[in-house]
Amino acid sequence: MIATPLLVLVFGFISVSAMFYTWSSMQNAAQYAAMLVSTGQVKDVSTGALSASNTSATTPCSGTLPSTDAEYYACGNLPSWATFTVTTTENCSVPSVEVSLSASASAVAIVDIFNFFSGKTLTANVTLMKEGSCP
Amino acid sequence: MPLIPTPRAPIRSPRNDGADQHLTAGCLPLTPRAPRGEPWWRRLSERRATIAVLMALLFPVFIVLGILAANVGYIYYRQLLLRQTVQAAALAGASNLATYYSSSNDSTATVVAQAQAFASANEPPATYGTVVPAADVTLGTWSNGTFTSLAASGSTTPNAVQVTGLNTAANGNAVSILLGSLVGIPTANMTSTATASFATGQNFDTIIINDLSQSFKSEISEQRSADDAILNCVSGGAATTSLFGITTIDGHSSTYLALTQASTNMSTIESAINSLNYCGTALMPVCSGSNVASGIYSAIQQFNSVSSANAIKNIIIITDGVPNADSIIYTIADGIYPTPTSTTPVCTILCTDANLLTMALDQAADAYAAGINISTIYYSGDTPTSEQSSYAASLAGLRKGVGVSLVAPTPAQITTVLGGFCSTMPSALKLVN
Repeated sequence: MIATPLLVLVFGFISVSAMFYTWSSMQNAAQYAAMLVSTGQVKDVSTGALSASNTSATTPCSGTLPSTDAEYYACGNLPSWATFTVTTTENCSVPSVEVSLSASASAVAIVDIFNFFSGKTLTANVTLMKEGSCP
Repeated sequence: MPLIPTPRAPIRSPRNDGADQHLTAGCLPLTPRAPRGEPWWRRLSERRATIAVLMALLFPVFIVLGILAANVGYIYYRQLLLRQTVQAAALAGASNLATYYSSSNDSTATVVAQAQAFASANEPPATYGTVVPAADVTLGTWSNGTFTSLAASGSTTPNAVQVTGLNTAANGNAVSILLGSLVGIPTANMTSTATASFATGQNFDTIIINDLSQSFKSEISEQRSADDAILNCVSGGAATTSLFGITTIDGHSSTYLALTQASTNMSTIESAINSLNYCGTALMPVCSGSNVASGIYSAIQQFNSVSSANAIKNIIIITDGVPNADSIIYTIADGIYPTPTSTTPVCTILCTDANLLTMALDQAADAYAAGINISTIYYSGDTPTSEQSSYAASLAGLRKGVGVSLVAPTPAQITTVLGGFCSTMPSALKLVN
């Protein structure tokens, strides 16, 4: 009778803590990647060099991303218990760079009691002004 | 059941022969126990009831602690989001500082609008309210680790933008705290401030193209003042190894002062600037029209021949903006080929003013492709008043990269405006606070 609510409570704490820790990590990683692209230190994304005809790319985070790609930096320092997807967009009409990281909330929460986070997506988004030449 | 350790020997029940030893061995129960004669199930039931009461009392405490932990995580996240938002806003505002100088009335409107636009992109108003009010975007100067607003200093040459983001009750967008109303703290206020400025880390290699043509001779003194102001910036505000050069134009170009380290050759450069004069005068070229393309072409070649690590390369064109063809033969050095690999020139003889304008646009594009920013400074020279605006617009069309376009700063404004203009060049835009 007591163990059940106690376990729910404990795993609830774990879930919420994991959620906010991951969300903050995603936010930091997205900003890091956006800064590298906005300042021209990184010019490539997973689909090739950013150009007028290649302004956006979406790819899952993995260990095989090369360090010349923006996604490599967006995917760094993220928790290992979830799968993340990164979208990098350069919009030269503003000009701006947007890096967005997303992940399944239930995966991020580690233990999704009662499927509370099921179907929800955790997103971190950072938009910076593109400096220098664009594209 | 709370127990107190004692040094006593284990208490054994004569009936169950130590069956409850694990519960009481070495300890004294605080609560009255059932008499020894009670059946075991009754005693067990009694203990369960005690634990249930205890948990009933502690459970709310656990829940409150959990909510507190969740709120701490959420507030940390919101503070991070706010910090990133003001950083993005400050960088966007500082990136547009040049508009302050290129406006005729020191307008801050574009800087403020851009800062707010990027704040909204990171924290949409529909969700977070107006995080960065216009009044909290401040232009000022960043010097020796201190930001001073224009209002406080009276300066008119900002080199930094400071942005303060608000999540406060007074701003109508305080951060809600989960179940905070139960303890009388329904919301939390948070603010964050970021400053972006142009620092001095990178070389700021600059070639000024001075128009010495006949139509521009009345402005030669303003050109000298402008050159001096830009030189002072390059030598004092940029990295100490920054290079500075002057190329003059009439129908052709001439490397008047080859790229040289500004900080260590100030007197030589200043002397050269003071000796500038319009075409046809002593030691100056013969007048042969006005061909900006030749100046840009020459500057590209000069930059290509000098290796300056990590340098920002800039061409600053000072002219009345009127391409003026003459009856001369134009060669490759006059920028007649649209691209470096072209084999068909725009023209060689009988070139028109329109041809020269096309050549200038082509060369500006080539310069940009080579990583060179182009800024323009327009003076009216002898241009009729009715045509000045169109000529100024034509010249502004040559601006590339992060260069800026200035229109007719008066002699009194030159030092101030160009000094400020120079400080806005993107030698190293970065967050400084």
